[in-house]
Amino acid sequence: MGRLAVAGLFTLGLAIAGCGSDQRPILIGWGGGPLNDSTVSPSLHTAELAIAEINAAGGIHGRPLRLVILEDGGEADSAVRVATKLVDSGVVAVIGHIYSSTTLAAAPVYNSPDNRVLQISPSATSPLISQAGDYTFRVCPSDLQYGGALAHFVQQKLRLSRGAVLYVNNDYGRGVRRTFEREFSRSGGEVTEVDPFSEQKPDVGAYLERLAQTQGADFLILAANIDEGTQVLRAIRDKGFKGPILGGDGLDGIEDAGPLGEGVYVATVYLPSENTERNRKFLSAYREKFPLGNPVDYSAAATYDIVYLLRDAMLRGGTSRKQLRDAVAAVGQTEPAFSGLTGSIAFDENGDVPQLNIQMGVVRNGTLRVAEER
Amino acid sequence: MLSGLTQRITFAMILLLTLVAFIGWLSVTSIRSQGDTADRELRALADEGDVGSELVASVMSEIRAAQQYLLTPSLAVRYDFISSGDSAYTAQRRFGDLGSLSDDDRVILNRIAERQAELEVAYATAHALADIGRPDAALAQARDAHEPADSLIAMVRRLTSDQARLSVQRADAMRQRSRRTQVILIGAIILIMAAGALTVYYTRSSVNVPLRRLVGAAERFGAGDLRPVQLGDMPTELNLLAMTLDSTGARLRTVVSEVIKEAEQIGSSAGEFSAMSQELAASGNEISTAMVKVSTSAESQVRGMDKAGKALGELRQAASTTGEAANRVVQVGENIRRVAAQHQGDVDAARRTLLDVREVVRASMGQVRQLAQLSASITAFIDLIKQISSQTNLLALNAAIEAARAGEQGRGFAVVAEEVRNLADSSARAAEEVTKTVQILLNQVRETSTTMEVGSGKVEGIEHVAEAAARGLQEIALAVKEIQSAAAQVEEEATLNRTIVDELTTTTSQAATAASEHATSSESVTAAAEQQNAATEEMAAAASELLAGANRLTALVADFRT
Repeated sequence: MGRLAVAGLFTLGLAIAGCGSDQRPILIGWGGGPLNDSTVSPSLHTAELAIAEINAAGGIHGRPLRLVILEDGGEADSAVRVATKLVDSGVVAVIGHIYSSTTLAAAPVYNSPDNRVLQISPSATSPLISQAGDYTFRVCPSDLQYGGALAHFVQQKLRLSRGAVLYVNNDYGRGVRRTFEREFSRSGGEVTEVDPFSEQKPDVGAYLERLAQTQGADFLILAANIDEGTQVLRAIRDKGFKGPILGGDGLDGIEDAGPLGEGVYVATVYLPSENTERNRKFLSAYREKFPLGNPVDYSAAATYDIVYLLRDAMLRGGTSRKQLRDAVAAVGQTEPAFSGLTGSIAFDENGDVPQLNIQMGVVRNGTLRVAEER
Repeated sequence: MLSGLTQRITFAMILLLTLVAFIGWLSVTSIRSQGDTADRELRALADEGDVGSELVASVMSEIRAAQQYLLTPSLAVRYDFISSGDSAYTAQRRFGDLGSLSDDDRVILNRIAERQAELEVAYATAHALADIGRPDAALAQARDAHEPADSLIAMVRRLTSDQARLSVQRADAMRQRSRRTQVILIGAIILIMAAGALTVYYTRSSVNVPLRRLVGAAERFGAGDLRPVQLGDMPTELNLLAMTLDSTGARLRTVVSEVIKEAEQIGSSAGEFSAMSQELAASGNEISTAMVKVSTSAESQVRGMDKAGKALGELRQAASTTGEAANRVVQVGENIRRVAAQHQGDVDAARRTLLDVREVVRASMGQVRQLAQLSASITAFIDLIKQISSQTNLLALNAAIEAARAGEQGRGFAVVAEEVRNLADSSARAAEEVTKTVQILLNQVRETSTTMEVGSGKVEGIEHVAEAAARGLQEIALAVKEIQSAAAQVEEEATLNRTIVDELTTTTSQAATAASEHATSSESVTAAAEQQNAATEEMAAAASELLAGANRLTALVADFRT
């Protein structure tokens, strides 16, 4: 009887949805930038792709999803304003932000008792994100994991014990630097230098000169995002550093930088070269929809995963901000983990995904492949 | 809805308690929330102070370490520089976590981080330049750091001063909140007091007013005004009392009106009673009258007794006359026998003549038989006389007994009665004598008749005898005539005697009745009179008591108004 009633209600719900009694679009925010950044635009594109696919399949009980896109330029203070605007626009959740700094800057807005809007970052890896609030989640590992993974790889696979960290002096760079330094030192390694550089004017010449004089590094950790990372990589190459250069997820996409990127190790949760049917379908759909778009990286794949994760949560828990947040928080806790392109997503109590498997890729002939021992 | 007093009071109490509980809750909540707020604010202020000073200190220490490295480069100073920088970032983050920051503050905070990063890059580069032996470039680079350092310090100061200002504002807000809470609490307390006062007033009025009405009604009843009262609306509990009072009044009214009716009845009864007493007095008079009558009747009795005496004297006389007549009849019979003996020869001689007159004799014989029959009637008469005298004797005896019963007053009458008895005895004896004489006469008549029958045969054909017989017979006829007249006289006397005796009987019976009446009535009248007197007194006393009681009762109930 109860089951029948539920079935009846369900049918009724479908009928109402079908009749279009409530076809108001469900708004999902996307906050990130700068949009001309080669790692940022694919994230936006994959969000659009996933939403188009979901709407084509009938949306959420007949209600279409609509993306509200606001660009924060990758700036922390701009991210605060973007977050406020997104909250005011009535979105039920925000995908973003891309960087740790912007994500951390925007998190208090989303977690404010007045707002309480779910925020899921595809790529903010700072350890601080873990404590950013109950409404802040991410589907990527934190720098603690990346730093740990990098330290582990250097010691176990590359078997090197002295190295320097060149880091972009922002939350991301500092995060990677700190966790790597800690993990590497703990397991017996020596970090000879930690050298900050500016995101806007990444000048590392003096550091490289010093490193050349002291011969203090067998490897370099380049804790930077792709844009400044590419410039710093060029400077390193120019100085003729021969040791392995390793980066975190920020260096995702370095494989597209031509010979410059050859041999660079990148820790990531997603390798576009992954040869699975789902990945192939994803890549071809992306290429079909955005023929001229930048190639997808892990943050693009993670964004795609986030949209589908949100859809599942809305179908399961409802479309209010609170319902959505609780349904998302349940993933991997009371609900099964979400299986996406980046792996099996299961949130812990901090909204982190500590179970997510980090892979080491290496650029070989312009492609990021699974790294083997040297 | 709330008709019962208990219900009203309970409702009011619940209302009050609810209000008090509400106020209590409000107070506790507001005090707790204020405490929480104050606590939070204080902690926030402390945190802000800590974080602010930590931020300032770490920034300063970072800059100092950076400058120091330029003068005396060492790994320790470089790490000091790096770790101070990290501390500054931590302080910024903690600052950002404070929650009291505006978006502008956050932007400033982000700028601070950017400036710090800029400064760090500049100094780190300068350090590297110094390390690789380019001190001039290092100094130039370090100078580049001055601008962000100044800006950083200015921003940090601004942020902390902003926070200090904000603290003052927050304290003001807190004060205002507490004042508002105070106003609300005071208002609520006033409300409670008003509700309490209202409840007290309402309770008092809902108890007192009906109670006063009840008391008024009770006092009215007490004063004797038993007319029904309108008590109006009452609480359930008092309504019971009112109903009881009402029914009590109704019952009292009934009782009192009945009592009044009874009193009136008793009054009228008492009136009737006194009337009866008067009647009783009147009947006392009647009794005296009756007593007079009794004495009168006693007199008449005495007269009746006298009359009886006279009558009885006459009777005695008549009896003696009868005796004389009877004696004369005997003498006449002897004369007849002598004449018959004298004229026997004549008769023999005259027997033939007598034969002729045989028929006459036979006729005479018929007449003699008739005479015998007459004598028999005299005997019957004498029996009657005897009977009368016997009855008279009995009557006299009775009269004597009655007279004895009558006591002193009947004593004279007893003598009379004795005389009457003696008279009756004499009369009886006389009658006995007459009977004897008549018997003898009768025997002689029979003898004569027999003789005549014998002689009738013998006188046949004797003319002389007939003549003598005729003469004898004439004499006989004469004697018989005399006997006849004597008999008539006796008869007359006897008739008279009967009348007298009748009269005597009547008189004596009257006397007896009168005496009896007299005796009876005298005794019973005396007893009755005594009894009556006592009863009359009692009755008079009772009547007066009754009257007094009736009067008291009337006076008593006169106060009641029904």
